[in-house]
Amino acid sequence: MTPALVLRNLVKFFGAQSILQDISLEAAQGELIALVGPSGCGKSTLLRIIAGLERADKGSVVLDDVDVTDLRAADRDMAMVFQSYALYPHLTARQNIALPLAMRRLNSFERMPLIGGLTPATREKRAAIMRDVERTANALRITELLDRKPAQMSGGQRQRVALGRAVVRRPKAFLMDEPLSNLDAALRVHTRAEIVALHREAGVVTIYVTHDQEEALGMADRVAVMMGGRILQIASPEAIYHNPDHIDVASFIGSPKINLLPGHVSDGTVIHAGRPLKAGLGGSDRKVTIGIRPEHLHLTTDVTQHSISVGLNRLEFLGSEVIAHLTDPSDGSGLIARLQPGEGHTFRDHTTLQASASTQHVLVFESDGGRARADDNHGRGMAHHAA
Amino acid sequence: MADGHEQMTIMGAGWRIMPRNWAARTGMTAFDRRERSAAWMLCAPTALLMLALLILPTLAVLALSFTDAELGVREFAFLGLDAYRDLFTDRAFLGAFRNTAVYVALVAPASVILGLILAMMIEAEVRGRAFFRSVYFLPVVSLTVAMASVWQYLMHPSFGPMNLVLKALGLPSVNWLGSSDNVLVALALIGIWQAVGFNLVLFLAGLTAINRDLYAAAEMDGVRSAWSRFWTVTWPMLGPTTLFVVTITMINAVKVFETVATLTQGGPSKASEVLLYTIYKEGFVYLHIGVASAMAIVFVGVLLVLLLIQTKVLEKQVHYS
Repeated sequence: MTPALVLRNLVKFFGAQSILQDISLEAAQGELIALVGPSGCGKSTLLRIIAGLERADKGSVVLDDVDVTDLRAADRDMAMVFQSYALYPHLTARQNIALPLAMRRLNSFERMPLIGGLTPATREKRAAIMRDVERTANALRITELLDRKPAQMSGGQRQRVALGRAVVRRPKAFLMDEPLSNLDAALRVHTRAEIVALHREAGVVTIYVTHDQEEALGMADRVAVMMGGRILQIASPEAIYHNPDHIDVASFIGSPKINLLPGHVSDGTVIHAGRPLKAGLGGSDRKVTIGIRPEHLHLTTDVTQHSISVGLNRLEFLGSEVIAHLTDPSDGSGLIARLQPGEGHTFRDHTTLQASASTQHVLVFESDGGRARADDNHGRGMAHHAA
Repeated sequence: MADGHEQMTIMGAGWRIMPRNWAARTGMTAFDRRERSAAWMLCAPTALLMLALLILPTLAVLALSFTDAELGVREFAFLGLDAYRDLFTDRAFLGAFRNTAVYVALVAPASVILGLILAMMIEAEVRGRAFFRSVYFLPVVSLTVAMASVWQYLMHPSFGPMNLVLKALGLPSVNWLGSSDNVLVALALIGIWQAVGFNLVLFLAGLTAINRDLYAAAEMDGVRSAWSRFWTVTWPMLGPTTLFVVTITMINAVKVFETVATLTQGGPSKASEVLLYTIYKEGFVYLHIGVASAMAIVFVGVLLVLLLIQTKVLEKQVHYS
């Protein structure tokens, strides 16, 4: 099956400032891709280029095998949902949802308020539009809001109307620009599920921009992590989390943040504070950064061969989990471990603990940020295998 | 143990209710009384100034308007509503009323529409925005009396540049300020020139306040032409601004005085007599304080009606709530 949406080598400058550097991406039919990254990483600009609201300086956008790079947004048949909802405040919900249909199905004469509805053909067209609006409103359970204006609705209700306006005309792609950022936390989780359901039902490609990694991981089929105008990695949420390609991906995704420790490779073995943590790395001896997710840091009271001793500062009880705040005595930096609630109190009276992680959970990054994987052939020599 | 707990709850509830009951019984607590007197003291300076400078003078004018008082004449008679009946049968006053209405009808729509068009043109182009804004705003900050002499030259029937342009285009020349048929149009042109810059700046502020996402949403929704974009987004979103601009422009146009006083003195043959100029003449030239006061009351009444229409009737339609 051909991909529904293809981005090829998109480049964008604002003046001399580079915003997007060579962005390429292929999205399958019906796929939900989340663009996630810190603010200013270019994700919103990329979305606006896909939409056609902004022009790329180089590269192309292909939608359903048609190159739409030179088409204006109105001609691309995509729908967009905005963080600010962007509803027309002078129109009721019904008129808001009907507007994209009216713009496409009626000519400017037929759209006129009074005389437009005179011929039977136009009346039939208008009735069809209203039926579609009702159907969409039913699906979104906003029928009772249809005669209200945006000012008379809550934020959540406005966002549903905005979603209605996007889905009503069955576009070829949905583009969502942080649609949940203005909602409160409870509503956000709820609306998340609804957007996923809407996306499934429509079955069209959806590009979802967010700065919230939880949203990205929870909703998307694939997550694209953007930083500094590049896509650092695009992969399934599981792969992004457990198998990051880059140190910036590892530290952006995950809360609490991944622990980063200084280390070095000696004869294929990664060593931190004199302890070997992982073997089987190729390449020459060099400095690296070691990443271990908080839930992969095992704490014990007994010294083992691969463990490092850490100071225990504080245990934070959070109900479903306990967060241990630790100090790495080798350089005084802080570490965080995520424990099962039951584990917490066994460490309460200790000031020093032993921390370890199983080899597959020790992520190693080169000094340029790229991932160094064990068993990789790094040019020369055989890979060393863990004992 | 269980009893004790219940006791606590009741007491707790009682604590919350008691002060409220007590306050309702006595009407006001000491705290409320102190609060109230402090509020009055804080309001007093402003309230007194408003009374002395606005309310009392207005009441004095209202009282004088029912009399035939003249400056320098000791006795005056109380005419009551007859003063107003006289006013509305006075041809000169009715003429001034009509002239003012014509002037407002010429100036307000033209300067509002022109201001909006210019504002959108300046908004659309980044280059020179500050320059054009300043240029169009110049008439607002320049002295009308001084600029009137420039207009007198521009509109001079024989050597004025406006007629020279008409002549160059092969059109007949116009006696701008000297003919009773044209004088209101000529004054209205000056009025438009004065008001456009102000309206433009207000519209520019209104345009910049429009959420850019709305234009993006309109584009995504298939709004293609600039014409549809204007009616879908710009015009509705400018509603509050437009209401304010229209109000301010009409009030300013009703108050036209300087150009009339300097250029035409109400002539030729009273064709440019406007309300404020007539009030001025009655009050300060003929010293008919009573008549001038009655006219002033009618004048204020006109302004109030305009304001009322705009705030009560139109306000509801532009705020979309």
